[in-house]
Amino acid sequence: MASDILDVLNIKEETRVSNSQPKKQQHKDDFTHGLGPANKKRKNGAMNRELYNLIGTNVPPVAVEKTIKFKDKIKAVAAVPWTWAPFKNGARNDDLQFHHWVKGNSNDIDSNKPYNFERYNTKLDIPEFNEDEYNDLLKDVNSDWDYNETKYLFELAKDFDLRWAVIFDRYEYQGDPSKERTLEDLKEQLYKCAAKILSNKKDGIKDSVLIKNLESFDKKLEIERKQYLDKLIHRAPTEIAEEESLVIEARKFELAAKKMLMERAQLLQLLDSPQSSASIQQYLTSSGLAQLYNTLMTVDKSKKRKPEAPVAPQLGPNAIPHTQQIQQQQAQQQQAQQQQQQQQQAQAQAQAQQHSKSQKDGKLQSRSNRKQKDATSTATNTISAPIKSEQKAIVDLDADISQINQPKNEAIQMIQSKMTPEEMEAFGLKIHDEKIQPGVYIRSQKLSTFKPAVQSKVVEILNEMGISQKPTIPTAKVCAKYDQLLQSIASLIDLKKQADKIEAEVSLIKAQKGVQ
Amino acid sequence: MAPPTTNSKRLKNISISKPIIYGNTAQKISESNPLPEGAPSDHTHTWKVFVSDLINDKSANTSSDLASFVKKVVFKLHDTYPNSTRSIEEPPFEVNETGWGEFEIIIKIYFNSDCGEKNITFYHHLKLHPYGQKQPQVQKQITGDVDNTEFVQSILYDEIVFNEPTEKMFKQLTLHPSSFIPYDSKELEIQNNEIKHNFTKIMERDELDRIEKCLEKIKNQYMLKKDEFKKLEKERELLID
Repeated sequence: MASDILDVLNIKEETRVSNSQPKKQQHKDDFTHGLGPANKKRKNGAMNRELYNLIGTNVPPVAVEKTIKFKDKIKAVAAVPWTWAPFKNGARNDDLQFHHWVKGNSNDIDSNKPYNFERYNTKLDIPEFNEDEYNDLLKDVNSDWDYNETKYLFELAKDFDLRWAVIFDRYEYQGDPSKERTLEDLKEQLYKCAAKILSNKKDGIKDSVLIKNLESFDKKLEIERKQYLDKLIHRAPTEIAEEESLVIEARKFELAAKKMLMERAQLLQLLDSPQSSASIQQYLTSSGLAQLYNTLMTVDKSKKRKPEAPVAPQLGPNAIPHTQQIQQQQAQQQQAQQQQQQQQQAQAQAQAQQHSKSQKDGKLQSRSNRKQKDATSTATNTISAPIKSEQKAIVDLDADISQINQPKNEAIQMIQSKMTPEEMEAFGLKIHDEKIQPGVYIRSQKLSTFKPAVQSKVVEILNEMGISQKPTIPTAKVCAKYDQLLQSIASLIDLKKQADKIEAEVSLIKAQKGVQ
Repeated sequence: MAPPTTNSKRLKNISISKPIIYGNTAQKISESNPLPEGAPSDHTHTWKVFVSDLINDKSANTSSDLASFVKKVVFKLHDTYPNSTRSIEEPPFEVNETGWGEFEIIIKIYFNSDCGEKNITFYHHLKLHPYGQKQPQVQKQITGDVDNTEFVQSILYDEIVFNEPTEKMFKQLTLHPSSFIPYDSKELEIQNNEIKHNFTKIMERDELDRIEKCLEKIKNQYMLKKDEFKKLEKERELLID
């Protein structure tokens, strides 16, 4: 494509090459960049531009470069001569000539040098004695032995370097055949004699430790030891298992004992702590008991131990001492009697009224109760208002009685006796029976609110009637009235909703019947 | 009154209410009401936001009732004001400022430690421009007597209710009767209040009447709706049977 254009433009080959050269260079640069840092390095340094130009587009397919050596070259060290040299072993009595290879030149080797392993040819230093010495010293050691046999034993010990098993094996003294020498007999005789000889040495060099060790040999103990070992090696597998289990058991016992000791120590510490002389009188009442319980609980918690599912005693307003309970029951009985009398009167009236009412809308009421309890509960309330008020009167009476029994707050009594309602209003005082959370609040913020959907409808109705969303002068009276208004609006909305629902239902049924 | 035993003991089943007024007054910048020094030149109004007793007659000898139990009042102005949180610890509890726009002011009242009460929060929408005829009760527009410049005020009535106050607080609040509302506008004039408002007994009675009328209406509607509901229910019963 490019060459075609150049042809058309009549541009000669030479100029074309010189022109296109930078382009190629550019292209190559990109290419080498792609190949990685090795080629890039070459481009920057080793290979110059002229060479690149010579190569042209023929970039070698494989990057040739020095690689890591995988095999270390063995360092050239000068060869060391070894010589076949003669030697003599000093440990040998005969002057036998041996040969061996020795590192080094033949001139360097000292043939008189003692043989390397000569020094390992050592002999035990076992004391010697002659017959006179034996008679002087060793005769008393053991009357069972005589000079010759002892001498024979010492010879053997010397020959076999005190390897007792070999000595015992080779011991064949031609004497009294009734005398069977055990290994322990041999040992005893040798050690005792050696100790005696060493301790009586004249040159004064005495190895007291060695003598003591030699003297401490006890034949009986040695025999016992061997018997034990013999028994140990001849145990049956069942015995071994039993022993192991016993060991484990024993360890367990040890641990348990340790634990018990610790606990006992703690208990003793507790018992030692000074006994409280305070009376338990204060803990006899229920409140005292609760207090004690709480303190114990806190102590327990402070020990940082998890309480084992503490079961709090049933304390609180319900927990009343027994005597008080009885008093209350009596009071309640009295109250109940009074109530019954009043109720009988009230019921008589109520029944009379109810009778006339129920004739009017009894049917309807029963149906509505059955079907739409939610919606009509308010409705029935208003219908049976007179009855309600009667009942309410009874409730009020109840309240009065309970107030007599339960002395009212002193302050309230004082206020009620000394102030007229007008005065109370001037002070902003109000006495209420219902429970309201103590604290300070702003009057207008305590007005009823509803769910967002209902709230918006309430606001709508308020606007329709030209009443602002908040009372302009929210005094106690106004707020109470306003709240009443809000509540009635809310119940109206609720009723409307229910009515709409039922209307829809009726139309649906009608439609269905029409189809049928 | 009741013997004070402990400060923290609360008197059961008693609540005390104290009427307060809060709101703002505003006046347009004019020759007679020049822009105060240091105020930005684009401000168009001077205004004052306040919380006060209903009876705030400074000439009379009665000390501020509000100050006896309020520790401080904090006005949270718009963030664009320097030191937008203004804490006023002495009566009068008010902030004088200049501005060009209306915004919501958060008002917090903190009570004395004697009361042992938490603070209360309410809001006031700063009014700079006169209302239409929609809410004539809330605002009062006085023209003519203040040099013909527009004078706007938006004052709201409310009551702080101390439910089951502590004994100490109860004592404090009942030192002298202060919760009454002036009977009518004549009494208001006699009082010579610094902040002019028009909350009277008459007004309360009017409001009660209005609400009562509405309540009556709603009740009538309710009865009508109830009848309708019953009819519908009967119809449905018949249809089902």
